[in-house]
Amino acid sequence: MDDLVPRGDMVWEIPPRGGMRVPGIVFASRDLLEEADVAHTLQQVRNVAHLPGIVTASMAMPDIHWGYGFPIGGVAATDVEAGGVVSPGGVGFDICCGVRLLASRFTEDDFAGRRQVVMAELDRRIPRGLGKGAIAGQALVDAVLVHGARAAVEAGYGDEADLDRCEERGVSAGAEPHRISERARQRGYGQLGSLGSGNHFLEVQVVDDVVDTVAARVFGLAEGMVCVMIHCGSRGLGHQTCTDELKPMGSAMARYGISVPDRQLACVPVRSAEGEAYLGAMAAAANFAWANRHVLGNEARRAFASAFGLPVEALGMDLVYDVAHNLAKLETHRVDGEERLLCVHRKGATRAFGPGHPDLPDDLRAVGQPVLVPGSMGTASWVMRGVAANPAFSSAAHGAGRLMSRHAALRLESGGQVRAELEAAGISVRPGRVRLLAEEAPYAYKDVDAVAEVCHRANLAAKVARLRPVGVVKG
Amino acid sequence: MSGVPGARGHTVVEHTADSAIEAWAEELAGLFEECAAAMFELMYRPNTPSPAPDIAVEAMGDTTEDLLVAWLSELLYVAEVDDLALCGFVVDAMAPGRVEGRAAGLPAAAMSPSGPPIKAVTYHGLDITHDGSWRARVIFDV
Repeated sequence: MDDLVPRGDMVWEIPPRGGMRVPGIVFASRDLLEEADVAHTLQQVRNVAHLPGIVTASMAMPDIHWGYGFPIGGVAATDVEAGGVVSPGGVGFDICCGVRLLASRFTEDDFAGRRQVVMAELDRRIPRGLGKGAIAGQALVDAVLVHGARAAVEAGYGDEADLDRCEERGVSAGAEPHRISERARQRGYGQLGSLGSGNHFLEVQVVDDVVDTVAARVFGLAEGMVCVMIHCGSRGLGHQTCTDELKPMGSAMARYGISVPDRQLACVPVRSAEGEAYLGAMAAAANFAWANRHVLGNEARRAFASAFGLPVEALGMDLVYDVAHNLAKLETHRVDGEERLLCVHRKGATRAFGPGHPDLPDDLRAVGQPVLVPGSMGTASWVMRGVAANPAFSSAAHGAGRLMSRHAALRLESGGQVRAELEAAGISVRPGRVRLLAEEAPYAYKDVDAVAEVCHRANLAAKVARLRPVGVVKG
Repeated sequence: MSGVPGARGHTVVEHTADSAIEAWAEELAGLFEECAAAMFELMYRPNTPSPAPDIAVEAMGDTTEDLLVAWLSELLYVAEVDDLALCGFVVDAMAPGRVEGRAAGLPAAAMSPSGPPIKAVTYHGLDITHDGSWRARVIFDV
């Protein structure tokens, strides 16, 4: 942390040196930084600062940790008309991984009376973990690559109103499905409507603290309300697409005379054939992810409907919002007093548009975009809102951030012990494989309350409500 | 396990969010086999003896690093679309820019997991050295 210069409350600067084109800016408390495997993580912030066309700073959110190429929690914007680059490493393999939150009209008491039935329905219905198994069939995949969540709605998963509560209305513009390889399609065909593994989850949560009652009301949240949060992405289709796109980038970079300190930061100008090809492929893969969460969200509704013996329409399980946290997007932001078209990379960071932003639906424009910050499966998650004058290209944290390596977590407790502790704390757990719970134990993650607090104080996003888990479905 | 010349093997390396391995072997072909074995051992506990390696796999890449990433990525692809845990890796032919080999497959659902499925092979921190014997370090996205 020697070269970190404090720049106000919760803000640190890494002055440029060597090939860094801009400084690094890290939004974090001292405690969070010290937990962040600082040497590796800050080096990744410095490396990102080498990207051609990067403006203002290579930024890191409060949940920053060691990633591959970009740090997790990394934000970098490049000036599209000034040779700015797009880097697949700034998006990651899980293209458009993100979080969806549904709010039900059920109370915690309602859930308590049906807990076992609800969890059994979710366990039975939510495909996850290893192996094939997905809610939607192969036939829908090609339409989804073009139309994203809209294709899912048209196929009967959810309704039109849901789309208003999705970032980009659940469809990434500029998708070029012909750039999705046959290999990527083969991986996606059996996975539309599946959670995957690792840190992906479906949780039943209860709103246990409302900090901003006005925003909470607009978002459809109230204390004691049962919610469903889903975290997943573009599955094998996205992973394969990133793998496919990275392969030719090494030679393309040489043609454009670009060198970067880490091959995983491979990049090409946005305004190049390769750059446009990547963004077209990325958007198509993102559309798979938007639709994937949409199909899973709809299945969660069906599970609740079945468990409570009600038709889906009578549940009122409305979508609060769906946000991506692994994407590169062309957005206009003010830099040095001028509006500029930027390619904003968010690798483990959530878009957080503030009040009045023209891209927000009418009902959210007064309070700002919902920002979903999930925590570990035993602690809590936060719903925040975008704020005006966000200093990080309208970005905020995406979660608690890992603290401990998977193998270190495995050495501490078995999956069975972790499950028993969660059940004892009133959290029902339905794992795909019990052993894998150990790697995702609550102590393997940072304190999500601390992450939300730093977001709030650093003006990245404002707290709205805290949610605690009562049921967890994991891969 | 150690990296003394003539020996071959692999081990897991700590990484906060992802998984990493180191592998070593006397020949480059052996290194590719060790990396493949290490990658699948991150996901599955080895149990029964491998069946005959009868799944043909080939990959291409401009540099040795590209080739290793392509080889491991191809194995991940085969495993995912066919729902297999792969083992018993054999590299049959290595030429500049190309590797051909085989793997044995076991039904993934019947295997005991050792960790979450690997999403992809990264270039981050990828390091292949040849100093008497070959050694590689690979980080995976999980």
